[in-house]
Amino acid sequence: MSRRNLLAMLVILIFIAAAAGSYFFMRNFSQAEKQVPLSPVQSPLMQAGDITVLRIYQPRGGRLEMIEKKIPKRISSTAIAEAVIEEFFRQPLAEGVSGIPLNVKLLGLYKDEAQMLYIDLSDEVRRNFQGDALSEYLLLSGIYKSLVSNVQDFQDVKMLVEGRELETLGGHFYLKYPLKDMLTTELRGDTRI
Amino acid sequence: MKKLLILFIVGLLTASPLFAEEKKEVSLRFSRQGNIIRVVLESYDNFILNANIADTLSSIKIEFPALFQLKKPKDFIFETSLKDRLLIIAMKNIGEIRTYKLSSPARIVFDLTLAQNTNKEQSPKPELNPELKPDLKTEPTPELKPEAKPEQPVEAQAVPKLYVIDAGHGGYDYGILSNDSKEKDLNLLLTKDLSAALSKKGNKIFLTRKVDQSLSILERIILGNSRNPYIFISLHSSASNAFVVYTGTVDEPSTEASVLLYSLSARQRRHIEKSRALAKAIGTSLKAEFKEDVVTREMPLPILNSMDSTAVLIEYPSLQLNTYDQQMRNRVANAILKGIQSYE
Repeated sequence: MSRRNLLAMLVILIFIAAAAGSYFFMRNFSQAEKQVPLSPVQSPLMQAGDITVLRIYQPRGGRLEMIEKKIPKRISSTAIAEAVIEEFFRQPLAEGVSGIPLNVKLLGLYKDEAQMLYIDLSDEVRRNFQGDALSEYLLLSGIYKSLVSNVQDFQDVKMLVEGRELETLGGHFYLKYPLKDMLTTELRGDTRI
Repeated sequence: MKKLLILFIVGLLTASPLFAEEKKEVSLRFSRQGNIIRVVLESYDNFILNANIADTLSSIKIEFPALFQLKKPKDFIFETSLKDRLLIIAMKNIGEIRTYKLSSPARIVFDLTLAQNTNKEQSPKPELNPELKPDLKTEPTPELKPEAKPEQPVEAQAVPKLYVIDAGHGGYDYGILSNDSKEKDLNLLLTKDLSAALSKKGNKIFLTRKVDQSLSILERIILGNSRNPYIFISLHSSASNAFVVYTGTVDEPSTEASVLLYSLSARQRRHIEKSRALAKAIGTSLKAEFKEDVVTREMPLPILNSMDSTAVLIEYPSLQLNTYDQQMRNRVANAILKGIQSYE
């Protein structure tokens, strides 16, 4: 084979390689633009029946504010309760929300025979709580109200921290007793002087 | 020589578990309030949890799960003796013993009532265990029996008024944190300033804590009620830039058992009007002094709802947004004092 033929073959090979490269690059690039990650609830394959809408009550501006959060369908009440607690503490939802401690993990959730719902949270709920009496009240009642609004088959809620019963979370309210009766007291509004 | 070395190493390995069995430290402290002597033993969680207690009116025997070292104040009023894992506290003149195992920090608390006072009230009392019985919140502790109340107005004219001031948080519970200060410390400083201002007016003061120490809500309630105060004030920081004066929340009376069981307002019910009037008077005085936002708020705070006296919880504007030097603290203390005076 002459030197001229060799050169021609080399040019052809370079051309084919460049064409193939640009084809694959363009293909991937254009697909990446199209493939915006869809959340499970936005997926066109998911029907309305596959969704559970949670009502989460979070403290904002000195009161509880309800937001709706769509999650993939959960059937058992325990799974829904788990989702409620996870969504309650989830960032960035919880960022900037007054009185919600950051980085809190749900360690466990279970019901006993008396239908008492135990929620076991990581120690961050205590360590990262920085608030006054109102913040603590709103945090505890937000958790309770969020659970009551989404799950019906429990009598009361008891909060544990790292599997243990604490006397108080932030030094203002008892944590060693179930939450219902302490938090369902009808509060009168503030009186400004 | 080689054999000796091997023997030495083997001996060392065999003896090492003995060295590993380190003696745990148990610290003992005590305090006296009226006719009640409180003895507290503090140590590690498991050490306290697994301790066995046997008490009589003349001695308390505590068997710990392992060897321990006792650290106690030199002026401890009872004799103590140690025998292996056993601690014996020998006592005299004790009429009643109440024992509590508490957590965070783990501790055993003995409330020892002196004999001469218990002779007066021999009526049977319900067994109260603060850790196990939720209805403790509704039931007055022995020191707070309502029967003692009618004597108060007669005594009030003869003796100076007693104020119980509670510095919120303390010990491992820091409260709200600012760059260089902690709420627990500021609460204590403000408490002392308010105490000084009230003392100057001839009042008697009792502080639930005088130093940086952990106190549970229940301990504060017991301490507060045991003094039968004229007024109870708890001091905390707000998270906002406003003064907030809290009173307890009194529910409508209910006959439902479950509501009664958890009702937090049994003790405070008969004082609530006075507590509201005091909150308003203090709030007005703070407003006049600081021109800041001042609100009064009702909330089912256990420390207020369980208090058997006129009781308020005052939150000063957040320490994250304000500087509390001595001058500022004096202003706060004097404004509260003026509020109390106008309430009277």
